[in-house]
Amino acid sequence: MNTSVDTSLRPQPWVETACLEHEVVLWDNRHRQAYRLNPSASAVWMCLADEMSVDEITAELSEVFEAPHEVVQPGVDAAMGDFARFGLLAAVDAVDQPASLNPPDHYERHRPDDRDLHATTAGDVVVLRPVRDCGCVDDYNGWAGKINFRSGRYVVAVEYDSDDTAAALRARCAPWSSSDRADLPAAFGVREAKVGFRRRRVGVVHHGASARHRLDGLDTAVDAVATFLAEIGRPRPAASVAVTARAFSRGDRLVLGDVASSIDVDERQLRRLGIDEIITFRPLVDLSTGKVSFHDTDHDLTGVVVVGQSSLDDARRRLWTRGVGPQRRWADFIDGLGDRLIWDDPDPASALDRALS
Amino acid sequence: MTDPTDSLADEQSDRLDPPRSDPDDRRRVGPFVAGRTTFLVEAVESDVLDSIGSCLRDLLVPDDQLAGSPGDEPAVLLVERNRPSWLPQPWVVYRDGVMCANTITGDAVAPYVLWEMTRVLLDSGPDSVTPVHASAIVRNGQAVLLCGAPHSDKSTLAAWLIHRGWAFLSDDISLLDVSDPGAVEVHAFRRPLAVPRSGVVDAMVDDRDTVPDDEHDEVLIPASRLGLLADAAPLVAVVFPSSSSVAEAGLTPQTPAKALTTAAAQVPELAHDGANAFHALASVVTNVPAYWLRFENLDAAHETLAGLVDGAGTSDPDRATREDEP
Repeated sequence: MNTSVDTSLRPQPWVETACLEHEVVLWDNRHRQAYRLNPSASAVWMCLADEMSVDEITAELSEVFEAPHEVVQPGVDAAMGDFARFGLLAAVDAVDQPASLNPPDHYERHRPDDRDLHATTAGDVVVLRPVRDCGCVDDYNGWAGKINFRSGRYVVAVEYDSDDTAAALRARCAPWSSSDRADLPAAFGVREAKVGFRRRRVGVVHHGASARHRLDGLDTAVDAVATFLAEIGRPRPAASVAVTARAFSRGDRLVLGDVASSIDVDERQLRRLGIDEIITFRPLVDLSTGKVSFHDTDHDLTGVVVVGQSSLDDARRRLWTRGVGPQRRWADFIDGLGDRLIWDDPDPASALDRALS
Repeated sequence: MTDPTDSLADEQSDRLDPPRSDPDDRRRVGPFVAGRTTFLVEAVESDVLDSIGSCLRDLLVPDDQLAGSPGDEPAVLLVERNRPSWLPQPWVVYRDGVMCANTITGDAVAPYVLWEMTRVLLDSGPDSVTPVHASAIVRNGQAVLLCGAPHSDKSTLAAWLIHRGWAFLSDDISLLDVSDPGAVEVHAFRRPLAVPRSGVVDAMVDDRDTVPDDEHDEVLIPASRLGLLADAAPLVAVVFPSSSSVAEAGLTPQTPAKALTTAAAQVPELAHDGANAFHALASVVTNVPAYWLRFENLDAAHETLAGLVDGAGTSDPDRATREDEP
């Protein structure tokens, strides 16, 4: 490793450390975020806490693990890069940063100040993320702030990652603006959504519903939040149930689908198949007519797709709604779909293609 | 004067907008206790007071403790309807004369009052008590903490356990006393349980007509309507529940590090000192075993947790080592 200056890096003063059975857990008290370190990252961190330099850490771990420097050094670099990326380190002497402390080439860099990136919709905005074999830290939330909106009886807290995102949210979601305090907790009937740039896509994550969308571009994500606000506060007609599902269409056909969050939906494949997704979170289904409504339109339901369940019973349970009565009615309804309910195809695109044929 | 039709009125001027009702017309209910603070709730409308009093009845200061209440004057929460009646959110809540929430719907009044009490508790808690976003229930004098992210069925499970004979300590916010790390104790904070309005609630509550109707996703139910109330009890297990399919159901021990990472995420943002809370939780998970509980239905969860507390743990014998979360 080549260092021009023996730059000392130390844990930030607001980072607490707990060592539990040879695993280290960190607490960033400024951002209220916990991190669990894998064994190698734990070893690097404890050396940092002992005020060792990077060279000393590499030497120490080489001896402890009885491995050559050239084998140990990439792991040390990766751990230091992660610690720095998550703001856990402070440079004691910030004259020159050693070259090896820059994130390695296989990292992608987030550039929130580049307005051109925000304007594109092709997934060019990326976040700094480790490749699979280098992941040292479990979780990261770099959310800059939170805005509360009100829809019906719900307060929806939307976290954002930048001022541009916040401005877009406030403009698009103005009808739901709220003067509610920002400190209302999620436990207090507050739904949460997050709009930011993660894993190469803008994403909206809603706690309390399994809907999870990865979208191209800020505008689409903000529209998704507006859709969520519109849906969550609307009254529910007696004959309808609110279903937690995504909606896909091709031509004049519409399918409701639920895909386990661990399964990726190949959106390029969907585009090749001519399948579009309609952003919705809790579409209403009129069980008497089989019509689905979201936004301000009604659609005939062609079928239902469930992916990622091992049995039909699991599939039925997966398409849940709140309440025993609605659950039962929805289960009866999808039983009546016959071969329009597809649950046995592990590939979402293939299942949707079948359902929309 | 702020235009009452402007729902986007400046927040600062809203806070200066004083109560409008005549104090002589107000009635009051209480005192309620949250931590070291007592509260009185006032309103002109008796039906509002009745609703709040019913919802928060488990927080009432017992009669035999009234004479010994803390020397500080109780905080007064005033609930007032001072927006035009055609507005869907005409209610306002004041604390000691200062507006703390406005544009509230009628069915959100009790939750807001409860939130104010909770917020004061979180702001003023003694150092030895660590608040955690969790529910706590007691069996045979031993407490189990149900901890996890919002909407992970903690409250529903806690309600069902109470219905099945466990005793209630707390819901949503549990108070851990870690002054003796070797003997962690959970204090009582008898907030009403917030549970989804569903057939589960119907099965637990005798007088279903008094439970809000299907228009609402969650309802607040005093635990005394479901079963027993408990006093402080020693903590014997930290459990992270999640509903699951039959194939995945079971109790899986967690490493202290994993349990701490998960639990630390559940320290309320308003907790007085995040660093102390983190170290307090670290000592908890070092001394108290933690488990991931996957359950297919509530009765199965009850059976598993009862076995855990009774010492006949039902952890999967094929899982010799602790696992990470699914």
